[in-house]
Amino acid sequence: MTPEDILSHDPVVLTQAQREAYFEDGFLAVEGLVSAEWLDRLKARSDEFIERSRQFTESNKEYDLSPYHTAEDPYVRRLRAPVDRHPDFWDFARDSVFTEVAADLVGPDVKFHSCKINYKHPGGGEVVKWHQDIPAWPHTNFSPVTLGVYFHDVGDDEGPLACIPGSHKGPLYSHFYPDRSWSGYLSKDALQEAKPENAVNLTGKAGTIIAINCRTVHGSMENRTGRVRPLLLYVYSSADAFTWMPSPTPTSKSGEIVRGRAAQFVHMDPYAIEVPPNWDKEGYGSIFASQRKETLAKAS
Amino acid sequence: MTPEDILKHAPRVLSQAQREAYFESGYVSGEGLIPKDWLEALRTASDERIEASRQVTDSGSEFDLAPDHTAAHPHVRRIKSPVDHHPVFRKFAVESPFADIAADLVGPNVKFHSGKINYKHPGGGEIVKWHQDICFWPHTNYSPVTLGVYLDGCDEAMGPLTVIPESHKGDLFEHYDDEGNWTGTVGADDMATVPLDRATGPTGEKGAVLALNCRTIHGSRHNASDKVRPMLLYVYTSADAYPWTIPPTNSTLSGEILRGEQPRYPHIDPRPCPAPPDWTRTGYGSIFTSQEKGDDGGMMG
Repeated sequence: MTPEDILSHDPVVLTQAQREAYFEDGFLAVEGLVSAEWLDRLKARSDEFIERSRQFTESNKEYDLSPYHTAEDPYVRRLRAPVDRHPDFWDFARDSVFTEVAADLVGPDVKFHSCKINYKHPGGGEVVKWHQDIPAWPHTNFSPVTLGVYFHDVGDDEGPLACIPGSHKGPLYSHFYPDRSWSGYLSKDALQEAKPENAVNLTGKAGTIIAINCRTVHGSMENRTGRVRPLLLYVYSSADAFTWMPSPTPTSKSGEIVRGRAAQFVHMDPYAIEVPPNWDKEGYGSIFASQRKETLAKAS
Repeated sequence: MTPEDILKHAPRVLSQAQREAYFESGYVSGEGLIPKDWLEALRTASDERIEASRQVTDSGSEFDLAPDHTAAHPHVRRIKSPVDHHPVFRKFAVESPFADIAADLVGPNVKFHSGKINYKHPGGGEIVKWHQDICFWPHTNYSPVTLGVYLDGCDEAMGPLTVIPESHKGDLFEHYDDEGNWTGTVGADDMATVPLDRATGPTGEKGAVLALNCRTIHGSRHNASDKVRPMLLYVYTSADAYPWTIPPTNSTLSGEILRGEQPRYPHIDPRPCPAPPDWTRTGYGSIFTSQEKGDDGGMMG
């Protein structure tokens, strides 16, 4: 579906102005949509999984662990595929205000793609360099949207996710190093073109939902506070978007229609994307690993 | 790559006229393209696998078996992914002139997609109703070509693969019934818009090759002879074509680049393409199982 098609359907939870802002800027942040009850449930599940991580010494299919992770002092950078870890995470994906926001931004027929929870620890350990999401998991069109929810109030100091307005209407940048290995971020020259000086921090109170289009250039700075900043991120697409490369972060639910119905026809946007590595064959650690050239551990 | 781009590269096995005919008509046939040694090797490998099917009682990852299959009288309708079940089948996909014929039709960068061997037995069991292959395994473009070789030859009585010339230039039809169930065949209303009188089924001696574009409407009648008609079918694509659903008949060779290299960018053709069921959730038996409902789909006239 095109933005015009999507906007012609009545909004579910967002205002029409918010939807228009998303298509215009390539991102959105909205407070007050996630109920306190849902937020408590998500936080409780997240805490349980951090607790559980104490038994592991290295990254595996559930966790991306920092080299500093210990049983006494857990340092989880990412919980992978939360929908496969606990039913609450899947319920949130398929039957919550999150699903409704997705419908407002990708159209009435919504497909689930992937998910994760990122934990940004105090210090510069989890700086995420400027990148676009879609080059890592190309689809037949550019409907995919990443929805995030902050578990507590996030200000400028916590390394909020930052987006470059309008960059989703610009080029698709290469996410390779000159030697053709995957970098996962924009080169210095490309970034200059993308104008990071215009970037907007997506800050907000606990429960703020952020939405980022798959082409929007985004990243996040270091966490200058003393507490960990969790961010739950789920990717949805229009049902008429299909992936044409193996997913770097597959889940058992990937491809499920969570709202509306399956597409009868594909929507094929001919705007070409550079072919990413075949993650099934080459393995995918995490964005932290690839942006730092850590040895890749196959995630599944 | 577009047909124009492909035709600019020098031909390897086919003549330029054969290549042009393929792009014009959506198919091309030819004889004497596969060396005899290859044909003998394929025939022997096929016999070995049919012999092995006597040990098997149910359809599985290798064999699609007819209900009357027994150890005494094997009735294999299909060997699925032969490249995974005999080294000769794999070698043929990779090293033989077959992949060079593919290069003549999809361009110098050739990717393997899938393969099968169909055994059309005497009698009415294996009618294949009119369909378009790409609706089963859609790609980002329409380069995919199915290359078939008749291991024992095929005459008029044996139910040759029959195509509607130039149908690859027309629409892609939904292979669903009115209730939205997958049928694996073009519906009667849509077929009424197709010039059926132009249908043609090239026959040929042992080793005759038929190349079929993924959009071309095709099917085959029953085998009215008293001999089984084996046909090996491999699908190749341009390396810049990417499937956007999980192939229903995946193999360990699927996605491998067999000639040339992987281009940095995909080729994306925006022409409308209907979406198949999600095979990872619904499962995929074979075209015989999906087409078994309903009548003969107009195949028997």
